[in-house]
Amino acid sequence: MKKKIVLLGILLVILGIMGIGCYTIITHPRVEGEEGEVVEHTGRYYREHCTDCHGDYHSYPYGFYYGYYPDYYWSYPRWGRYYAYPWWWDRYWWDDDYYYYDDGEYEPESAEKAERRRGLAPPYVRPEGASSVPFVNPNPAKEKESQEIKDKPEPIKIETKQEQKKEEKSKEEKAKRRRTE
Amino acid sequence: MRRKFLFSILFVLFSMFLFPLSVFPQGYDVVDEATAGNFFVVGARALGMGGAHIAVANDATALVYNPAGLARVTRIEFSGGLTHQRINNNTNLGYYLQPNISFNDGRLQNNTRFNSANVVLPVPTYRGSLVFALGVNRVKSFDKAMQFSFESDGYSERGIESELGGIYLWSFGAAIDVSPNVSVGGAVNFWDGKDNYTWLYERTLITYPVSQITYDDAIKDRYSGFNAKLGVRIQPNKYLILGGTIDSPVTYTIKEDWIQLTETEQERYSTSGSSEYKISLPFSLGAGMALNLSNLILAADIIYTDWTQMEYKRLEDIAEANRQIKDTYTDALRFHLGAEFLIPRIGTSLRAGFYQNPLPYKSRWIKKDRSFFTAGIGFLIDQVMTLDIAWAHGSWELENFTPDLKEKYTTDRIFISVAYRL
Repeated sequence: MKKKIVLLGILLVILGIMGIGCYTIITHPRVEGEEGEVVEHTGRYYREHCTDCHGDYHSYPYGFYYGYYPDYYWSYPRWGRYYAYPWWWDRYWWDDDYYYYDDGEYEPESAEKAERRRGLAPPYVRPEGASSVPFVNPNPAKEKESQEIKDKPEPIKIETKQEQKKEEKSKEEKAKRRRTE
Repeated sequence: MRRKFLFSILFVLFSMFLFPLSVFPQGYDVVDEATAGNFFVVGARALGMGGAHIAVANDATALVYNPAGLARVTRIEFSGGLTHQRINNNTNLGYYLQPNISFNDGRLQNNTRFNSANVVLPVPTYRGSLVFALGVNRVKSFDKAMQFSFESDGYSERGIESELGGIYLWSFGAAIDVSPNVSVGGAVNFWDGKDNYTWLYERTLITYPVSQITYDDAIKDRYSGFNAKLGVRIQPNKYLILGGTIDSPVTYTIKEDWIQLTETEQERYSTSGSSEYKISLPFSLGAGMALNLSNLILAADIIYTDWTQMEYKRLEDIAEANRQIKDTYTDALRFHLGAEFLIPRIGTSLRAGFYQNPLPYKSRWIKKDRSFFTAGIGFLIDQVMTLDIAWAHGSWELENFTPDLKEKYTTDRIFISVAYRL
């Protein structure tokens, strides 16, 4: 029994050491600007504080590279969906409108799942007006189109004072929710 | 393991009746694989690829092949599988037996077994991967049968050996990405299994005065033990995946109940007993490589174990038993080769493979080592489910010098596995 406990202990220590300062992160690190509970969700803010880590966010959700996947994962999305697409990024696969390009606001059916996803929302916002590019392209016919969209320069929206006030309020709420989750 | 002693005694009795002892200079020459080696592949995808899965495993079977592969699972997975094995024994006379002996042989045994049940739980991450898994997998099979019967110089002899059982591995594992292309993982395993062995031997004197003696033995072993497995998976570029594993030693506690029934015309009596002993198995090291060429995956694994390092820990005649291990067993290099060709448009994979799972004892008992050809097909159904079917055909040949018999085994295995990802 003693030996078993020692074995288990060694394993846990190894995993623990690996976990400390590890590449894998399960909670988002605090970034400058969050300290005072006032987060300026502007393009400038994200360029200054987020893109160091999330530079690839046009290509990958969260801006991180998730391994080498065969090309057919993109061409035939069932493979990508099964082997690559994390469950916590889930769109409802049976809902074609959401699984394909969703330009509109997403209204998930399951509050629980939405909450989970919201808790892991990447700390950057998609530029207004730009189409979302899903990690797994479910429609090869749209591949070219999506590539063109990716190649487009990031549009910067000029906001009116009224819009800014309204948006800042809702974004502050979102940011608070993220921090508490 | 211990049964070989009992078995040997029976064979010595048997041979004393029939043949001059000088014909068998090797004495106790019956060996038994039992807990050494004897790996029974887990999962139909793996079997289809000849078991080459150290670098390839990216599903729940990574718990068994390489825990680091769990890090590649991104969805919650439930999986399970069944196996059907048909094993056929064909026993023939060896070199020394006289040609005037008439011989009948052959025995077929079919077994359908539960093969695996696993759950994989990836933890939501911002970067990298952290995955936990829990499962039970049948990693060793003891299922086999052997039979011989022949007549010579007024005697008829018959022996039937049957063995049923296997060892299940209850595992808890975890894997984590330590860099974009390097994952490490570990699993803690509890080994649990049973082995029901029976041996029936009948010798009849046909000429006057007619007499018969029958031995009917049954041995039941229950195995339990703990060990750990560590693995690493590296993908340096798009085309290459490398994997490595270390299995820590496992010490089995074996509880054994045995009964021997002896029957002659005059009397019928039985003896029985129980015992408990321990045997430790050595480290096992594995390495694997996979080439990912667009729709084609080529994979190869090697696993090295030095079975001479097995050691009885608690046994009455421990010194003699450990000497026998050194004299009987050897080191073994198991290798697996496999290929998978994907047809993405129809969600189908075609697989083929070959593997050699060497018998762990010295070559003087082995006429042809144990090898398997495999083939398989897999379907990806509706983005959430996989169905894999695989078939393997294997064969091996043994030589026993006491008595002088050649055993030929052929086996066909069919695996079916299903996985569902939420």
